[in-house]
Amino acid sequence: MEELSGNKLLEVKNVKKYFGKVKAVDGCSFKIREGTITALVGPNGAGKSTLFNLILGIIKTDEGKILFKKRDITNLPPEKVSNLGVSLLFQQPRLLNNLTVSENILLAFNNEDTKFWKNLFSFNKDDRENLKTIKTNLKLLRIDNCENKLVRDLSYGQKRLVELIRTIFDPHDILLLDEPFMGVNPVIKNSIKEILFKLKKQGETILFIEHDPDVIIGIADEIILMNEGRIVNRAEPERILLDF
Amino acid sequence: MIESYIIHLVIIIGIYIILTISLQLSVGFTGLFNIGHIAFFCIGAYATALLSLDNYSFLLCFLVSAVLSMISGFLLNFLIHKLKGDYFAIASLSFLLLIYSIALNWVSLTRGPLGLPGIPRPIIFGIDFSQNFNFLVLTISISLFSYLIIKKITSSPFGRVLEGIRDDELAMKVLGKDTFRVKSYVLATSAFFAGIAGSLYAYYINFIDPSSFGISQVIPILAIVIVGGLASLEGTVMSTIILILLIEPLRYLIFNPSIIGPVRQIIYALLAILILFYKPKGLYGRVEW
Repeated sequence: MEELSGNKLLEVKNVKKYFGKVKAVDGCSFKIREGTITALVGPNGAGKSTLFNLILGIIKTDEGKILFKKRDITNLPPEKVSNLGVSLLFQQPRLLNNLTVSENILLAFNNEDTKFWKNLFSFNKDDRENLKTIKTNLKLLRIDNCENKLVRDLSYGQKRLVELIRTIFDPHDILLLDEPFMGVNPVIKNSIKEILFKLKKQGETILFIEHDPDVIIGIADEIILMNEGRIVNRAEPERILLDF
Repeated sequence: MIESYIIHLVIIIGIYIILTISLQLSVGFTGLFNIGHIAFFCIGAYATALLSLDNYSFLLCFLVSAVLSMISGFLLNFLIHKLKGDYFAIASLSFLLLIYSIALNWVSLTRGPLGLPGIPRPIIFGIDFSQNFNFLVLTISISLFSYLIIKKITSSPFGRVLEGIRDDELAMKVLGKDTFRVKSYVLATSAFFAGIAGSLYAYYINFIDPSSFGISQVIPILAIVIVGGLASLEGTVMSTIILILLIEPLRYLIFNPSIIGPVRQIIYALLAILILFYKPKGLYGRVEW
């Protein structure tokens, strides 16, 4: 397939990760260009989520390089990778159940909340502005009136939506979404689709893991097919899914 | 007579409130199961004792105690920040054993098991705190100050990050939070206030020895935090008052003074276990253990 136009944003070069004798990721190489939406597909155990974890620095690579905005981010700690502009939605919900929806999303806006002295002597002005933004967005997604609910009281689908919103509010240049549609009902699925279409219109760069061909064909510009830790094909969605 | 006894109880409660809310900051809000918190109390008490016996002013003794404890908290986090849960707890307990051993064995400095007697009460701006009532006012003022500072920390956006670290540290890292830096601030602050409590304790009791800072002292403060409930400062204050007053009558019920201490430990431990089984959120906690 001809490479999509746009600046190279993320480059994975011959990355390997072995767990004992299991080759979870076995020499993967690919590039993601700015403003493109790429679906990473493949059977269970193909190494897709491991690859995301390697990009974020959650687990360390055995070999290879990962470049982001031409900077080597191989094995950098997750917080550094995140602050460079990589935002991740985990496969399993990782919201904070003891906090409210708003509190969960507020954590994503910036890192001013980690400044001890500033927080000790200030009066949370930023929060008030950000809360308005959260309220507006929740309303657009038809899950308004839940901003003050504890996350543990939400349904699975609502949690997924809230987590996706939190991931989007995390300042980023690329979004890595690990099966955003997994386990949600059709209504929530539509809401997530709406969000992704909107992001596509805004020219966001997204790399997402997904199994559902309907979703992939509508959203993705290209597909990377993985199997047994390797990239086995890369093409436009229609071409790969016909063969798949 | 009764009046002076009540004043004594309120002073002890005030000192313990500082100690337990500072422990709540690390255990309840941040999920750092710091069993070695008494080590900071010990450092604060010994720093005050040694300096005040050399006639240094209250302000200097008090600040040095707090800052030395704070530095220890920072160092402890630096050494063990990669450990989680039980491993963190065991490492912090080892830190307590280390500090205890120093207090016990560095005889030329601490007089070892003989302890340091005759710690003079402070005189601040001409006010003599050898009067227990004056010392009560001082203790309450410092307790209130400590409570307000820790309340401000925990109710600010910084407090939200602490709760995030407690519930899912990796999720916080992926959101770009430097959790090492945040935990350093927390343990340093927690130790700072424990050092303040230690300083007040040394001034009040006039005598300290290593037995006041052993592992057995961990049980009461952990029991108070458990009974009060995780991430609840109000609960911690309430449980400090309730548990100290609840245990106090033992003095009059048990005539053999040598068994009062162990019986107290048993009651504290039993209360903690019962709460964990039947009311895991404690009295006012928002989070289950």
